[in-house]
Formats: sequence, structure tokens, C-alpha cells
Amino acid sequence: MKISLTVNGRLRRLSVNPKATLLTVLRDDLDLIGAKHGCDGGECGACTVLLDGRAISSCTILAAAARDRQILTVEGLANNGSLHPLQKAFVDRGALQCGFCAAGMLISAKALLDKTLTPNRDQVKRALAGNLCRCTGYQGIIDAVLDAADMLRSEAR
Amino acid sequence: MREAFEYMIPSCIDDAIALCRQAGNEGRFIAGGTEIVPRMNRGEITPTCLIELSRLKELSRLDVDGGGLRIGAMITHAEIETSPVTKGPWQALTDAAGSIRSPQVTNCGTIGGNVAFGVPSADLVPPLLALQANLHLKGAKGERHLPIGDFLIGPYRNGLEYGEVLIEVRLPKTREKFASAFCKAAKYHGLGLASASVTAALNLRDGRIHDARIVIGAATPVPKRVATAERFLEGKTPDENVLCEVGRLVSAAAEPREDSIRASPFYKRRVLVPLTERAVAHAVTRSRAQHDEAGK
Repeated sequence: MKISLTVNGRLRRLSVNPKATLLTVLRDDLDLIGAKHGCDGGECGACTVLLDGRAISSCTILAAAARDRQILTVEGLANNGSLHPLQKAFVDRGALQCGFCAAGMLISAKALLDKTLTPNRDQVKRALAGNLCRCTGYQGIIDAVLDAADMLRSEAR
Repeated sequence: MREAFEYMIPSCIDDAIALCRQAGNEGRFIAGGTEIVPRMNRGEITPTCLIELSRLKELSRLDVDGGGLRIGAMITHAEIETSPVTKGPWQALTDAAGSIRSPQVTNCGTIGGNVAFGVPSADLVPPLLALQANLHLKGAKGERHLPIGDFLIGPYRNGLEYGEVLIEVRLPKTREKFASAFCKAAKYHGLGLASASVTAALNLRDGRIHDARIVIGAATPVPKRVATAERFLEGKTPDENVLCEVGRLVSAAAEPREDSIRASPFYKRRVLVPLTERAVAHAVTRSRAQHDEAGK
């Protein structure tokens, strides 16, 4: 099945297996391995990407269903080699240990900060409720998202 | 393993129905995909034809019509949670949509999938039962309207016939000051899959409860109205003793599975008491607030 996807701002025309999930197409066909293959069931959030600006699990949607839409993966966060404030904050706060959940966490946080630059702690928790971290680094991650919101607010000034 | 697999994207309901018919018994309609795709990933289901419903415009409406609410089957949980039209008497539905844990699910999952898939813990179904929803279905044999109570048969079993599309869910016009609330117990600060839930819908007139509808979710094989609790509440003033007693009645009506996964039968029965008290109290507060609003 032939489809087009706009991934990280770039239009990609692909021939995909109609049974393939968006996650497998991103990883296997487009070599974008930031989104991780975790539970394959929409439970863990490691495969989170933005679809038209909304956080979704790329393992619960077929690539065919994402046709003609805008996708942002963690690879699209940095701008010309300079890290996104979220990424900087994750580094500064040590908001990851093994890193498996980090790409999904960053994308879920991006969805939140696209909506508001003044989130409180509860809003951050709520935005990240679909992302599991097995190294239990949640506090650092939440702190990092709040830091990034601060950074983006001062950039906007 | 069969390799032939088709993904169809019809642009009208009749085409969708015809395509499903052509696919024999192996066709499936797909909406948000949050149930079907994981099951395909795990090899639990192996459809040979998926028929995407996203282009059917009749399935995407969400509006008030003649005092009732019409919700197209493709409307997502996130849309229900944030829409201005799902509030008021239908607040229990908004509560339920907002109680689903992850944005990843609420952004994709649809009311149609929640109803049609028949998962016993589906959160939107108990409020729909309390709000006396009617389902608009269409299949090869024609259209029909079915009260949701008649649609629910058992876990993963319902009145949807093969090849039938759920077009929309209709909530009838409610009486003035009618209000509803949904409370559930779950992990992740109450945002996980339900261990148990209670929906209360009622009308407060002169400080007394009327027309109460109380529904148990996730602690019975399918969401169930509790007639004993509804009868008990009629004409009562919602004081502490009344809330206590209605909690006891709801708990007594539970039928949790012995091998239930998310919580023991003992826990489910116990937690239904405070859930009921809370749901009824919220609905009462909301009904009262509508009086105040009307009095201004």
C-alpha cells in the first residue's frame, strides 16, 4: 500500500505493509529508531510520537491510518543540531537512566508545552501518565519538564 | 499464515457495509485502533480485511439536537472530555472520558470503539447506560435504534451483528436540573483501567432525589443498573444516612468475577460503597448548581 507521511517536516512517500504499525514503519523503513518498541499494546508510552500535534502511541495505529498526516518523532525535536529546551533540561536534570522511556517522555512533554508554557506539577504528571519509566526517574523527569517550560517562557519574552 | 490482507477506506456507510460483507467473516471495522491494533500485534485476532471508518462523516458529529446529544462513533475520548456540549446533564460521560489514563489513548480511542468492543471495564458504557443512550446502527439489513441496555450481553459480547456499523450514540433530552457523575477506583491516581466504577444520574427537586439511575461498572459482567438503589433513592433527602445505605445496596448488587484481575472481589465490593456515596453526592451537588444557575 502506497502512502505519504510528513515526518519531522519532510514528506516521505512509502510503500508499506497495510498491517504494519506506524512504529515499525518509522523504525524499520525510515530508520527513525528514537521511538521505542516497548509493550506493543499502548501501555508503556515508549513509542509516543505526535500525530498532527497530538501525542499517540505509534504501536496502536497502523501506518496506513496515519497517511497524509504530520508526524513528529524525537529525532525532529532538535533544531539544526541544537537541542530542544526539553532535551537540555533532561540532560541537566539527569532525567533518564537507561533512556528507553526518554524519547516517549520528551514527546509527551512536547505535546503539553505546545498547549501551555505554564504547566503546574499536576498537569505535567497528567501529560506523562501514559509514559512508564522502569528506572523510577519520574521526579527528575517532571522537574526537567518544568525547567523546560521556564526556558521556553524566557525565550518567548 | 495467510498473507492476503486488505486495508479499505470507504467514503460512505453503505460502501463500508458492502466491503465488510464481501470480506466474509474476516472483515473488521477499525476506528481509533487502540484495541484492534494491539490485539493484531499479539496475534490474538487475524482479520484479512480492515475497513477504516474515518471518512464517514456521519460518524464525526458531536452536537445538541432537539435537547438531546448526538455523538458520532468516531468521536474520541479527548473530544468528549474537552467539548462544551458534553457538559451539563451529561457530565458523567465527561468524567469517564477524562478518567482514561493516557493522552495517547484518549487522543485515538473513540466512543464507538469503547461501546462496540465490549470490554467489561469500558469506562464510557456505564454513563451511557445511566443516561439512557440509544445506539444508531446500520447493516446490510438496514438501520435500527437500540437502547444500550438491550445491546449489552456479556463480556466482549453485545448486540452488534457482523457487518453492522455503529453510527452514533444518542442521549435523550433530560428533565430540567438533571445531573450526573461518574467515579471510579483505579491505579495511577484513579486514571488506570477501572477496578470498579459507579455512575449516578438524578434530578434534585425541592431537596429530594428523583428519577435516580445508578450504574455499576467493572464489578459486574456488563455495566448494570441497580434497581434496589434507584428505588431506595426516590424521594429521599441526600443526607449521610441515605448515602451510606445506597452505597450498601450498590455493593450488594455487585457480581465481581472470582478471578478478577485488577482487584479482588472483596475489594471491589468494599470500594463500591465510597464510590457510590461520592457519585451520588457529586450528582446532587451538580443538580443543585443547575438550580442556582437557573435562579440567577
